[in-house]
Amino acid sequence: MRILGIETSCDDTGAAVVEDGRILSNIVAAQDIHLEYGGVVPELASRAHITLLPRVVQQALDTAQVTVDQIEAVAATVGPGLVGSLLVGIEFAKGFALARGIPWVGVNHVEAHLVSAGLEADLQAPYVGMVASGGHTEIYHVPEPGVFRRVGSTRDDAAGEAFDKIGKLLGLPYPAGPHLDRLAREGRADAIPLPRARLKGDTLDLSMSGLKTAAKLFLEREPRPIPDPRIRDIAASVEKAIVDVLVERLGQALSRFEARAVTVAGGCACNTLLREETARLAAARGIPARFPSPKLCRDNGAMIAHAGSLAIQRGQTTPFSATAIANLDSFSLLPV
Amino acid sequence: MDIEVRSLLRGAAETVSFGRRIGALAIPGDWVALTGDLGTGKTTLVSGIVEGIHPGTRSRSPTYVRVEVYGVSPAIVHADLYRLQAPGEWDTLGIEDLADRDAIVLVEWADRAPDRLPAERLELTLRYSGEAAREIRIHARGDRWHTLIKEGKLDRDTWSDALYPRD
Repeated sequence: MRILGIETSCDDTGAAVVEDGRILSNIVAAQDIHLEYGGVVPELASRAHITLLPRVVQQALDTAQVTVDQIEAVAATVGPGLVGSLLVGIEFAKGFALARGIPWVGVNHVEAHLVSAGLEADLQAPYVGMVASGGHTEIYHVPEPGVFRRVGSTRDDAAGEAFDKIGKLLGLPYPAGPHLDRLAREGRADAIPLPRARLKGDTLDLSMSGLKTAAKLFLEREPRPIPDPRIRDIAASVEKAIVDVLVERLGQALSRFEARAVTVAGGCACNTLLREETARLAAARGIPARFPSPKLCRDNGAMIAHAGSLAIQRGQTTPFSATAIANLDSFSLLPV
Repeated sequence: MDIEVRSLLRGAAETVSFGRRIGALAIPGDWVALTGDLGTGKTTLVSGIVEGIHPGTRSRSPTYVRVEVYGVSPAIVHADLYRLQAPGEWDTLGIEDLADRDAIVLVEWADRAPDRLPAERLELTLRYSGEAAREIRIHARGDRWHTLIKEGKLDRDTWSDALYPRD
């Protein structure tokens, strides 16, 4: 099946064509479109989606070398995200599907991240997965295809948010994650004592805000300017503190639930240490660790198309009366 | 009518307790504006407010998605203006549309779009007071919160550890 995937839940406008699990095109605005059109990308996210989406879709079709009438289904993100931004993608998808007489399917953005590694490698249920990005830090158990059980999540800041906010305190450009990753490779992770939040009770939830506050208080006491070797040590220590919390929870989830693989997706899945530590965790249990490639880690249309085609294979499509859900938490089917 | 009182929150547990008290007093249509530097506990305070409105409901930082919505009757609209690049971007968030339905609106980094908030609101400003403690300035704008403060509904003994023991 040839499916068009549309992603407009936050800042990025994404469209992709996926055919039987193979990515034919995967266009994300701001990067690709900006270059091609040389124009100014509108500053306001939801308005930017309106302007960019038709162009992004056209470019996705062109790059895939398919025409509008060769598309057999459309998938779009229905939540979680900003309602105004979500609606742009949803209504476009519904309009496209209605005009072509093909089905459309609404996709949960976080679940799409979760399955995204399946576009590049074998990822079969049952598995345990984590989505860690600027907006989300969630742990899921997928006991069988199409069943997404959220078993833990952050109670305050997302992991990527912790990377970015602490990175900003260090004077790193936004988004700070890649810079912090690069600096951390040459630093000592045990140089700075930073807390790892241990939440009370039997929970797979996690917390990042205490670490952020500790880093801020620590950095306020640090003499300025901070010399480069010291910045690398701080970066390595911050990265280790964040990754420790994530990997500990992942390990606990693997102990509790049946899993034949573990996957980490979302923007933070690009982080070198998180990949290494997760791979080690998986190796100790004799299961594979799956990570999407960097382009699939960020918000993109291909993961939406993939999640959409999996849903359609299971016989799920979405009624045209369905709409955006800002707080799509733990369910994957839309109320009508 | 405006009134401002100050209090000390000695750690995250007290911040949550104070938030629960605010949540218990909040009614549909209320707006709570939160301001304070990185790490002063705005999101922690919000988690308490959300708990006070809908016990058992979890909140989280909406820094990236900008707006999260929790629960119904009343819905809680939790906005975060940290990433707002211009006050005009407020208009694209749809907060007023969501708030139309008798929601309780909680806005972090409210100082990034001060003119967009309704005149009647509760303003909570957090500041570091040592490592763990935070000073909170409680500024009632409008009669309702003004009266609640005058009646002692936010006095320390209504929310401190005596009522909400540390867990």
